[in-house]
This record gives sequence, C-alpha cells and structure tokens, in this order.
Amino acid sequence: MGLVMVAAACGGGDNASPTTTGGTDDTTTTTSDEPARTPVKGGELVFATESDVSSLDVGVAAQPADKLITLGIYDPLTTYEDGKLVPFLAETLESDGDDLATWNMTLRPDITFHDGTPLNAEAVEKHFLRLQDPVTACPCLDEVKIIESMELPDGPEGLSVVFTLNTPTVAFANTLAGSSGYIESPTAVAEFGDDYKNNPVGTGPFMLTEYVPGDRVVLEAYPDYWKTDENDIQLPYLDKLTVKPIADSGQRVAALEAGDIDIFQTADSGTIKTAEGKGFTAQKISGSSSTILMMNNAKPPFDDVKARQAVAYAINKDIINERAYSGVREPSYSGFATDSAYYNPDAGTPQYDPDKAAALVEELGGLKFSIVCIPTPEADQVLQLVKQMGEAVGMEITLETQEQGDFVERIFGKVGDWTGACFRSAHFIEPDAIRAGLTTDDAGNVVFYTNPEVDQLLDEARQTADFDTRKAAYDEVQVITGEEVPLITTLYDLFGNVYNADKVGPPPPGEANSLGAIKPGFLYATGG
Amino acid sequence: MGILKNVVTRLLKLSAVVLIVSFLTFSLTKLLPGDPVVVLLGPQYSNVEVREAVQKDLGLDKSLPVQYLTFLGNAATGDLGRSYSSKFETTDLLAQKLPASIELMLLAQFFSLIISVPVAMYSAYRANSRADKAITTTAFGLISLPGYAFAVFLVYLFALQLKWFPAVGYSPLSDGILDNLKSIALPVAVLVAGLSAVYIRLLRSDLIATLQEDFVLMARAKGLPTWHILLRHALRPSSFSLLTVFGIQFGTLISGSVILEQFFAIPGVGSLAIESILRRDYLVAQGVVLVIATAFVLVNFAVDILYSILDPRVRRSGNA
Repeated sequence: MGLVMVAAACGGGDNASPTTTGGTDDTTTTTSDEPARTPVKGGELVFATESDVSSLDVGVAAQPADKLITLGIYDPLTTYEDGKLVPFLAETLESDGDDLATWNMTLRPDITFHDGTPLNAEAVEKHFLRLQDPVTACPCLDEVKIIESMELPDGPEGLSVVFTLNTPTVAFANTLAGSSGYIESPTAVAEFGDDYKNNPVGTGPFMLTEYVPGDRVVLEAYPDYWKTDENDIQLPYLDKLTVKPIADSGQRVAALEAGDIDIFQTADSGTIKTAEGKGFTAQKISGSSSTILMMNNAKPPFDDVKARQAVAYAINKDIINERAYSGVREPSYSGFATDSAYYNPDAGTPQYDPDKAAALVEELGGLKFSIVCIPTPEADQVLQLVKQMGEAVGMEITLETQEQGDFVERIFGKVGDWTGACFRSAHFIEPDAIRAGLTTDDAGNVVFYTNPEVDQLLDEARQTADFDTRKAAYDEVQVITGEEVPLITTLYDLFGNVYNADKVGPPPPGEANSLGAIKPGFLYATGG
Repeated sequence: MGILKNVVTRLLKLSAVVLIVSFLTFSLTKLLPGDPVVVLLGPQYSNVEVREAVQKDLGLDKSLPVQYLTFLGNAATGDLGRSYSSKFETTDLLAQKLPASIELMLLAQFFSLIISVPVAMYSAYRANSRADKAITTTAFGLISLPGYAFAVFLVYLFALQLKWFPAVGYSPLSDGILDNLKSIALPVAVLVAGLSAVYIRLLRSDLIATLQEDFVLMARAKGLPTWHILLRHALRPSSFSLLTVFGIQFGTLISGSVILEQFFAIPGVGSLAIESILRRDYLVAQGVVLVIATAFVLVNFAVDILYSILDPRVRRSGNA
C-alpha cells in the first residue's frame, strides 16, 4: 500500500511517471466480469479511501483518493472510454492534419463552473499558463511545458483554442486525459490564490461542500452538470458522496461490516480476499501499474548488462505472487499488457531460469548489491523473497529501508548513490508514456538508462499517428529493453473497490491510469 | 509577596522551557535529511529552476537563524505559518484536530479517575484480600496489554457483534452530542483501561503506606468511620504520585495517540504531528510542537500549584 504513495507522491502528473518499462494499451482496465448496471437517481454513499487527500489541485492529483475526488469535482478535457481516447469536456480535439505540433480544440457550449463562471477558451488558456508557472510547483510541468503557445481564434469568450507544441507528438491528447487536463475555474483561482487547493471549483458532477483534512470530504451533486447518461438521466446519480480516509486495512473491512461505510478502495490483495470472504463484492482493477525493481544503470554492478540479466533470471514471479499476494496478481515480463495492441510476444525480459542466473553470476565473479525501499510490510515481504532467490544463485544482497520522504528525494534528486531500489510504475494506455523513463537524461529516467537507438525510436514513434510505424518502433524498443533489462517489472498491481452490493450498484470501470479510481459521477446507490 | 514572586519566577522558567523546546524542534527537523520541496515536486525536483523558485516562494532559501526568528516573531502574533503542501494555516489545522484530541484526553482522564480512586481505596483498605489480589492482577494485565490489541477486541465485540458503537470515525460535537459520544466511546475505553491500571497501582501503594502511619491509628482510636478516614485523611497525602503521573499524562494525551487515531480514523493532533514531520512540513511541525509544549507546561504548572494546595508543608516552604 505504501508503495502507491511513493509513486504517486512523486509521480504527480499521470504521464510524468518516474519510470516505466512500457505503457499498456489494454482495451480494458478491469479484469473482473462486469455485472449489469441499472443506475437509479438519488441516494447518498460513504466511500472510504486508504489515505487522506494529498491535493485537490489540478495537475497534481495522482493518488487514488485524490483521483476519486478530483474526478468528481473536475472534468478532464479528454478521457478513455472502452480503451479509446475520446474528447470529454472538449467537444473536439484534433491535430492539424499531419502536423502533430498543432492541435485544434473546441469546447462544449453552455457549460459553467460550480461558481457560475462560464467555461471558455480563456479559462483553458489560464489553466495551462498557471500549470506552466514554476511557482505553482506542478509535478506535471514536463507535460505542460510542451505547449509553446496558445491562440484563441474566437476570442477569450469563444470556445476554440489552438495549441502550438514545441515538438510534434501524437500523445498530446492523452496528456489531457490526466489531471493536467482537469480545468479549474479562473475566478476561484483569482479569489483564493494560494488557498485554491482547499477550495477547488470545477465543472464536474460534484461540488465540494466540506473538506476537513484527515477526516472527510463531502461532495454534493451539481444541479447544472452538463452530462446525461444514455437514458437521458442527468448525472451524477448520487445526491451526496462522503469520502473518508481509513488507514487501517482491518478497520476498513470492519467499517463496511458495521455499516459505517458503503464502499472502499484498496491496493491490498489480502483485504480484497478477506472482504469477499465476508460476502462483500469486489470490483478488481488490474494492469494500471506494477511493482518494479529498479537498477542503477550508471554505476557498478548494474552498469553491466549481464548483472541486470542475472537478477532477472533469478526471480521467480509465481512464487512472489503466491507468497506475498495470495496468488491474486499476474506476473509481468513486459511493460505492455498481453492484450495490448503494442505488445510484442517475441520480446520480453528474461523468465525465471536459476541456472542461467548462476552461470552469469559466476562469469561476473560474484554479484553484490543492495536494494533500498520504504519500510512497508508488502515491500519487506517481496524483497525478502527476492533476496532469497538471489542468494540461491550466488548473489549477495543487502536490504535497506529508508523513510518515504528521504527515499523519494534520493531517487528524484538523481543523486544516484544506490544500486537497487523498489518502485511502482504506472502503465499508460498511450505507449508514448514510456518515453520519460527510458530516454537519456530525462527527468523521469531515474535508472540512468541510456541507449541512443531507443531514444531515436521513441522520438520517431511519437511524431506520427500511423499505427504501423508506431507498432514497429515500440516492438523494437521492447526487443532492446528485453535484452538490456534497465529494470524489472514483477507483478501487475491489483486494485479493488469493495462494496456492499445491497447498498451500492456495481461501480463504473476503473479510470485509465488512475490506480483503480473511478469517476464518482457514475456511481449509484441501490437504495437497499 | 513571596507567592507572587514565586509565580512570576516559575512562569519565566516555563517560558524558557517552551523556547528551548521550540528551538530543539526546529533544529531537529532541519537536521533530518529530506527536503519538503521534493514532496511537492516529485520528478520536477531535478529541474533546478523550478526547485529554486519554489524554495524562494516558501522562504526556505533564507539562512537557518533567520528562518527560526521569523517563525518566532510570527508565532508571537499568533501566526504559525502554513503547510507547504496543503497551504492550510497551522492554526486552522490545529483548530480542526485539537477538539478530538482534547475530548479524548479529558474523557479518558475523567473516567480513569472516577474508576481508579474508589477501586484503589478499596484495594488498599482490603490489602492482600482476594478482592485486592484480583484487582491488582487485572491492573497488571491491563498494563501489559497493548492498546491496539484491546482496541481490536472492543471493535469486534461492541461494533460488529453488538453494534452499539461505530467501528471507526469521529463525529464532532456539532453533529450532535449522542453521535459524538458514541463515536468516541471505544477509543476512550482503550485509553481508560491503560490509564486506570496505572493510577490504581500508584494510588494503592501510596495509600497502603499512609494507612500504616500513626495518625491513621489515632483516627481509628478516636472512632472515626472507615470511609471518613480513607477519604478525608488518607487520600490527600497519598495522592502525590498519582497527581504527578496524572499531569504527565495530559502531555502524552494532548500530543495524541497516533496508533489509536489511525485505527479509529480520528482526526487528531498525533496524526497531524507525524504527517507533518514525514512530509517535512517544517512550519506545521514546529507550530504543533509549540502548542503542545505550551499546553503541557501550563498543565504541569497547574499540577505544581495543586501540590501546594494539597500539602500545606509545601505551601509554607514556598516551593513544590
């Protein structure tokens, strides 16, 4: 659970993920079979999250708790539906023909923010200017600084914005599906200034009516919300949603049993199993991130590809799955999910082969390194297993722990004084998202991997919308990274929304790239 | 005259204590590795331009003495700064979290006293009887029992089986007194179990010693009833250990019980303190410690005064 916080706390914007071995293009992010939904209007629910709100500002929200709430308060400009990127708050968003450096966007008409301010081109322009300002300290800065300039052909009160990017990229529309694409009210920003984070105002289905840090966030339906569902019912379905953090996993289940809450989100496989055992229903969401073992490619021993390969051969992911995750998760050998359009079945990091591992260790004359991680029980368990597996083939491994704040600084400060480290990486539907983690000298490349051929392939792949060209490039990247093993993905994370089916209807599918969060506008109560 | 001078001197000393505590907190948090700006920026931290802009905006580019003096100066006017990440004012955060911690503390202390004083008196009076042995063993057991283990048991019994109380959460007074008391009953019970066990043992041993004094024998010889001897004569001189620990416990309880708060999802001062340190939210951490230290110092000042009220010998000699 703590690992989520690490990645989220520093992985700020969804696309500025610290390290990714590859994006997934899975067309579904839910692995459970979806029960039928029969939404009804009305009702109130209490939703428990694992951690407290970290920030409700746009561009920052990354943790599941923050995403759940901000997806209620704001609307993203684009979003994924059934695995396809579609405009959401925007009505249309297209590149200028083949010119991937110019993008034309029109907004939906007649939309107002919760405070009555109209949604128009000026609001969007101000939004991006604010995110680009260093003082805003947005972790999404890398994503938004790609916007060189914006033009408003119909004036500030019109609905059109033309974006000129400083490099052509096909992934621009995808960026706007994440929290840097959530549009906030410029009036609220002007009024609250620094305090805006605690008084968020968006166009979304819910208004924030109460925020007590550490205790609760209360969202109430926004009566003038623009979206209706396919049966013309105006969203949101719920009148009121209360979000409370409950840190202790056992207590979360107890609270569900006692009726204090109606639904909770969790990253802990054990909790999901326990709750199901007690008769509650779990919506399982997999594939949006995975736990990874990073290796410092810039210094010994992992500057030698053989050392990295040896570690990959030594790890038995099925055992880790069984011992640490009750067998619920799935091992991963590629950054792409197996059902992704970009998945290359002929590539992939080495599979478990202890003999090869031992041979490599011998060839290297021994392999000694340390792995540093934050001190959570999950990390402890997994790393102990890795240590045993490594020692079985002749490696010498020391495990270190470091408290989260320092750990994050050590990794992101790019000091590079570590050999092995744990992390959690998010998988994105848009394959270009892997660029940050693999490109030489990129801020998100914290393993110091460098390969000019990979850099070139990734650049090529983002500058065209042609599927075949992109597929060929990403196939080749997978072949190369499969051999060079800059880091090792272990298992796909499994997130769950566990609920009492008497009170809560089946939740909507997990939001892309959001660690299991859902759009609360689509959540409904069954009135049970 | 002597008393006034006494009080003033004492207050000056206490202010010095608070100041020293605040300085130590400041130094310690700054010595901790880790930069609050990292927590804010994530991967953007490696971008020097952004990092420096944010550091300047937060006042972190000034020298340490300047930062500390700025903090003190602001604190004197009631401004304890803001959280770097959430931008909430420290005073607002404290105002939100103190009520729960204070309520927990007051109720726990109150009920502990109500339970422990009569039980200790009975136990001391009937020292070594079966009842006394049962009481001391139970007290011993409760002291050894970890709070969270007891908490799990209480939740299982009272929240899940009997459904008398909620398993988690804190209902503020503004939502109705009954809901408030129900939400706080189980955490208070956990605290009371630990506190009363300690108080009972302390008071009991002091009482047993007192009951062997000559003046008690004299009172008995005079024919005074037992309850009168216990309550009016024996209790006062036996209460010093209890009073000392009672005062100290206020400090412990004010700073909040982090484990209980996490377990019962109560928004209290303990969680605030821990989180602000983990996030390197220096200003919030310093503000919280300052408030806790001041409260603690004042409570113990009151305890000192109580000593002199309870024991005339202390009053006359002019010190406690």
